[in-house]
Amino acid sequence: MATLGTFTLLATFVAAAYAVAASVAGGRLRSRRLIESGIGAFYLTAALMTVASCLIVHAFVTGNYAIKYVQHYSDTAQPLAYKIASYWGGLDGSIMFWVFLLAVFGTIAVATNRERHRELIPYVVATIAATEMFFIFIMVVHNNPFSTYLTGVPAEGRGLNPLLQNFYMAIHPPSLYTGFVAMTIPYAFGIAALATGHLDDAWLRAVRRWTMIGWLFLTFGLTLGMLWAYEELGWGGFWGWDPVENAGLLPWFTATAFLHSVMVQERRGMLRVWNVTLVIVTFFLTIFGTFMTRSGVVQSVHAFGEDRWLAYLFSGFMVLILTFSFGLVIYRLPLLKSRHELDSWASREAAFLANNWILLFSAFFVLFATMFPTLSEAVTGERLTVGPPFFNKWMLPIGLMLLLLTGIAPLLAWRKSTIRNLIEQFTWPAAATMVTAAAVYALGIHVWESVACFALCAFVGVTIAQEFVRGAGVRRGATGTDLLTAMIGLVGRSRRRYGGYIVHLGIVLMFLGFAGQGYKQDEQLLLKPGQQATVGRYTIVHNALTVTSDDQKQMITGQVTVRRGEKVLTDMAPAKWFFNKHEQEPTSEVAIRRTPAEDLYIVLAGYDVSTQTATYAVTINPLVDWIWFGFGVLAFGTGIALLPERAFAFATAKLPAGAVTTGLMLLLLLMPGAVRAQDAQTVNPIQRSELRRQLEQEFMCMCGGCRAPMNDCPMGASCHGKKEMEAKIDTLVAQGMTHDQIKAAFVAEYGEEVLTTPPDRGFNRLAWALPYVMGATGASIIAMVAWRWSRRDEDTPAPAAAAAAPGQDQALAERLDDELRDLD
Amino acid sequence: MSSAISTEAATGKRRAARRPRPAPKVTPEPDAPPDSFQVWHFFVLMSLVGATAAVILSRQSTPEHLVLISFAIGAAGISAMALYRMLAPLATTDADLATEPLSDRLRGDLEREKALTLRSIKELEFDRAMGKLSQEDFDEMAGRLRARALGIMRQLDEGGGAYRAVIERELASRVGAAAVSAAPPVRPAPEAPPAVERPDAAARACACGVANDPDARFCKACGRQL
Repeated sequence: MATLGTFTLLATFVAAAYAVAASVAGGRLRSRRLIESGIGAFYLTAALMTVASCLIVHAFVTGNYAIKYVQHYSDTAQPLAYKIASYWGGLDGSIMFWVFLLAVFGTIAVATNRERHRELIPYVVATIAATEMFFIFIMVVHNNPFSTYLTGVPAEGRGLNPLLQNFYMAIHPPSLYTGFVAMTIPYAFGIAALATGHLDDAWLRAVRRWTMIGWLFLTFGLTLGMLWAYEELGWGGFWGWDPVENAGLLPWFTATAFLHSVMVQERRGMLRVWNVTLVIVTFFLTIFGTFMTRSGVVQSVHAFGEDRWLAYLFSGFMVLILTFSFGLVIYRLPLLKSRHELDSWASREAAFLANNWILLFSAFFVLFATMFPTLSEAVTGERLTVGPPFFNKWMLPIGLMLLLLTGIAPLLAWRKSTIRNLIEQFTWPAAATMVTAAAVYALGIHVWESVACFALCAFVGVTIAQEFVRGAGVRRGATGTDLLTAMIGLVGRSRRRYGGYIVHLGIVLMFLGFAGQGYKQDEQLLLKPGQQATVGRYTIVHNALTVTSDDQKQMITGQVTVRRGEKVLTDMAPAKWFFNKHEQEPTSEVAIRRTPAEDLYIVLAGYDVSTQTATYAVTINPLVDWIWFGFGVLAFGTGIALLPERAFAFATAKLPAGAVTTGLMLLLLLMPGAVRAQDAQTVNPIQRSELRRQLEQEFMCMCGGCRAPMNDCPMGASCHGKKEMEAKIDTLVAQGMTHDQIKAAFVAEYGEEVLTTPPDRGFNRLAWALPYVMGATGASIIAMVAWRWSRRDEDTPAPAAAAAAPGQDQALAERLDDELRDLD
Repeated sequence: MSSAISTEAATGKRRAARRPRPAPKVTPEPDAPPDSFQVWHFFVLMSLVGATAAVILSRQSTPEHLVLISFAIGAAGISAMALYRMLAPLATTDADLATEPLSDRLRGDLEREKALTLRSIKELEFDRAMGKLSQEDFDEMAGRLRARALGIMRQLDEGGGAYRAVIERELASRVGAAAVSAAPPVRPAPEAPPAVERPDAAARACACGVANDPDARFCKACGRQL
């Protein structure tokens, strides 16, 4: 079976190489038979990868431990679903899974566009097949998932990492990979358009749908990653700016920018170079993300480990991508000239320009901050940490600015907004912003980030509502129906626009969840059986500790009752699981009580079975579930925008479009959401001073395993390294030392590696200065380009469209008018 | 478009449904009626036989094992089909493949493209009604989209022309072949200029030799009253 698998991979490599050669030769020589043969070879790669995937999954399911990869990532006790998920659980298999997805997606893209974009298809096939070749090459020469033990085949497997044996982790990588892979399709079409010189808007129409699909899967993957971190890592948060998380976020930023700027090209014929650049950068970032997580250049909790050889291979491939792609862009620059110029800063295209600048800045900032420790180590020899506080310092205002633009852009007119227009559009949203800010402040939330976020959410929410109501009003006037019917018709008829607004609504809901993080509450409780403690409005009663086991693991579970006043709300059971063969890596099974207003989040952080004493880390997370719900709305909106013309007629007649996706997301939400459910002595939470809380954010846990800030250490109270550091902080605080003195003492003891943000001096000053430089440079370039555009406007000849209107065929024009009238 | 449909009908190929139809093929049996044995049928059949044999002969009989073995063999069947799909075009000539007229799939694509463009024009009208687009901008942007829509409509209409060329070539080659072999002609040879003959009894032939739709009142080629 292993030999057959290796042979299949080799055959796939040959087929892909043939597809590249035949397609390029066919394209150059205009030979239809070569092109068709190349397409056939391209389909063959997908079929062969399917065979290879079936073989590896078969090996996992039947426990063929002669194959090293199978032995490393599975064992007999593993449930079937996780045996299948083990396929992408390790480095070798994840690369193979990547190629499989790329081959399948590529085949679908080529099959659906083969007629409409005949001139592009040979180069699309060649680009995708060349990308496949690179990954297959890695597998064949370096990471063959089918390599076997020559002697001494183990009788049992090592088993999948316990942290990955989680429902979300089983589907998170496929989703993220699908997003990554889908981004290859727009790149392939972009390269084909550049290679052939067919740089009108046709290639954009071919890739828009694929970008949306890729974007949706990336968002889904990132959301699943957040859910996994929230439920499995047990530190109460969901996003830790880990390099692997960032790897998925980078292309998300640029893909979001592309989805917006593509509209400007379609409507106004502008940003043509920019769009093709975004497509290239997005693809590059997907490869770069893969490089980051697989080569070991960055340290992460869930990177695959260091592999210098792989790092060289990836570096070569990335250099090739950049050189080749931007070489083509430069070669085709004359064909990429803008048709129009920027008329006014108060226009939608200007808002999109600003949004693009911010998104691209975010991508480069996150990339820079993620890579800074590696850079710093290369230059100074000392590895630093760039932790969440550094990211948050920048990304928080950036996020708020993006949210603001989400509200502003739909209100602006294309080309130019007049003052009257602006007043008319902005009155209600601006009023809602102010009222909300005042109301939130009056309700006692005095964290400025949260207040601003709530106010901006109101701004965007009212903007969207206003767009729907006004749009329905116009449609009502045209069709004479009632408001609700008009609104449904509106969404059905302008799916992309209103689907987009629904996506914005999803983003607003997600931001509500982020705003809640500003005033979350966390405490640690040390309780004996029968004792209770109060956190926020909840009283937590510790009843007992139980020790149980099954085939796979031993489970230590804290039995907790939660009350509000005298009323028993629920029973909860946070636990620690020790998987066989992975006893050193216990997993936290968090107990969560979900409500729309807040989550009660309890982790069994420490325990003593002999005395039945338990330490609970209790977090009250306000509004966090709105993030997951927001994703459901976002997926619903994307589904509407993606549905084809015919499908929508069916969907509106039978059931709301995208209902399946939302339903699935809600189902995902509810599954783990089910909460596993006496007079007592009341004790106080473990006392932590404000200074200690602050320092826990600023110091890394130096236990050597988690590489997380002290307040986010996934091992919680059971982490010995952290305990030691906490004790030191308490001692120094008790001695009356100030914040800076304690910080200096820790740096003296542990080195600068202990800090979560790089100190602002020497080479590390670069980390603080560069974002400013990047932002200012980007803004200056955009301002300069826009200024030149607006200047050029004076010399621009009359719009080409007037000439383009072919008046010669009157009959055809009349037919077009008739069809437009019939279109409703 | 209507002319395209009627011309296509004149080829005498009976097709049960207009849409959706199978993708344009590079398979070398263009004359085979769609309900006859196709190449892909062979591969599906072989995969089924292979999967059945594997399931019977398999020593492990857990459901997941059998399902995966069957999938693997099914995928191998698809691979064989793809290999055929890769090699078959090499056995033909560029000319054979280039004669492919406006195919059903391309027609479908163009129809979708047209619908999308018309919808974009409607969106612009909507923007104008919402006060987000001035009349001047509307005229300019809608003008561009209208030009695109007209281009697509023209391409769709001209699809019939491509068919006509193919049919004429086909007829000429058949007639030529028939004359050489002295065999009874498949159909009476048309007078020059080569005309498309319609076997449908209801078709109305014009004096110029062009077949018209049964309900046509004027000839679509020369405009003469029928």
